[in-house]
Amino acid sequence: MIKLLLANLCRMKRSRIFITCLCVTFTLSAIFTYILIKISPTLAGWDKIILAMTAAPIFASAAFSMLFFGEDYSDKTIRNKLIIGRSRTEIYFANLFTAIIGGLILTFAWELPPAVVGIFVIKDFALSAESFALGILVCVCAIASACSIFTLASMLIVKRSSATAVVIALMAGAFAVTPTIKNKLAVPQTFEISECNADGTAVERVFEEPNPDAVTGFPRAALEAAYDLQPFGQIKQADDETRDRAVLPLCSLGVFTISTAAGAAIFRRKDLK
Amino acid sequence: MTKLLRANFSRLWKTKSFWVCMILMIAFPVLNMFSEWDMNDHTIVDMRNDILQNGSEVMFFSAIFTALYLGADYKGGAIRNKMIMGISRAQIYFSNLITVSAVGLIYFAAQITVNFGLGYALGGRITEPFNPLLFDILIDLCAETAMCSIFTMIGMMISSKSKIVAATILTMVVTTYGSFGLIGMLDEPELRYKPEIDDYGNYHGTTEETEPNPRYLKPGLKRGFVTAVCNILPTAQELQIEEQHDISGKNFLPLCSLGVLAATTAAGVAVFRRKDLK
Repeated sequence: MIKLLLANLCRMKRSRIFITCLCVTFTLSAIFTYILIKISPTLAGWDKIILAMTAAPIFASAAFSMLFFGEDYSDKTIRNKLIIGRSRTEIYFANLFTAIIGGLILTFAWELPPAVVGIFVIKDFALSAESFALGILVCVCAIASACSIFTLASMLIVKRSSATAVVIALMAGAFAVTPTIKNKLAVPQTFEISECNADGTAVERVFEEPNPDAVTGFPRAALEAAYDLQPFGQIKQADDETRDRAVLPLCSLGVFTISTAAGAAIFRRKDLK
Repeated sequence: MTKLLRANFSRLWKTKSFWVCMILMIAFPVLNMFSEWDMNDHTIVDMRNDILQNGSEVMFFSAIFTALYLGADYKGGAIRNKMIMGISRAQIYFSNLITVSAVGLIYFAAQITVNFGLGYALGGRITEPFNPLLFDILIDLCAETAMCSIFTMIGMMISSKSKIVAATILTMVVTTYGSFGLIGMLDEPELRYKPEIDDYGNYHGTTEETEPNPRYLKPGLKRGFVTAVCNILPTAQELQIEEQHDISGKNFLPLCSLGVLAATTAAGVAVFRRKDLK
């Protein structure tokens, strides 16, 4: 598998798709960072901004994975790999690790301009070093789980263009829906009511009433699961010190394991024509 | 070119992606309308917002459709066949542009019809004067056409179907979120409430006092530039109409869209004329 992985990385280094994704990612990030510091020079907590920005390179990773592995089908490389005796599982895992490495390089390219500006110019950080490291771990795990989903789609759907459209559209949908889920979950489940005496001079009793606008029961559990399991939800929570963020990498690991197991199992039985 | 257009439209009705995008695009306003109806005690307060709220979805599905439709031309060798028949590259480009723009307008008309019909059936009415609403619809239509011309330019410049798909959808995503950011900059208030911070640097909400907002863009070159970009970008035009912003130079927005249409078409035709079709 090491040879397959090295061959993939060697191809990735020369791939026009990867270079284009890298350049576009870096340029957009540089423009975005420039606009941020020009328009809002007093932004505090630059480390929180760096963590929040990690959502964007997921789109570049999706485009890269779908186009790069789709080529394996169109130029019949997959069949050649099988002919020289590589197992399907080896091919799947080599592609998965290539997607993750590619995704992390793209993320690094995206984070480089804001990180340089944050460290050398703004120098205003809100999180402690441990908290920031945990945030980075959450983001890395979220990207790895996203890449495992992209690998699954690219290895199982032979129609490259349809697969690309579906995956990027789903990612855009997930990205757009995440703030709505966050707002719905943020609505307090109860609110305090203070009962005053007849002349309104003193509070007699304070009690809690269920909030009718709050999402409760099964819908709440489903929303929480959707928020914790999808990569954009995880990244949104990466800087949230009020919650137990150690759970999030475990959620990513769960998504990663399930998608990889399902992908490898189906790819083993797939008719490559 | 009439024959090309007829061929394009006859292919259009048989294209699966057209109908899939249409169904998904209609599903959005239906879901939005019922959700609003449910949240507002089974009433629709004002249909104006509902009619104009799905412009971004229309653009998004136009992007997906354009990529799949134009990409198939390259993949199936249809472009070469058209040229063998003696049709010029400019004619091919314009027929595709007209087809894609027509699909954008069909999607737009479909979502307005669904919103209007369903909203009316659920008891909604249009409470504001009709003429400003019609002008807002015109701005949205022009922005949609301008966006379709951008997608056509991308679709005709790249030969690989999957790369067209990735490029158009990502362009849509980047321009939409870029527009959100730019509109957010223009929306910053001039004054803000002073934050209350204790000696240890902890934030305790805001005080009653106000102070100048450092994020506010003062009238000048910066604000003028951001306003101009917002007026030129079709996605930003659409979002400003959707959110009922006070747009400076609103009357000129259709002209801005026309400018985008002309510029992208000129660039697209020029590149496509010299393109190696292999």
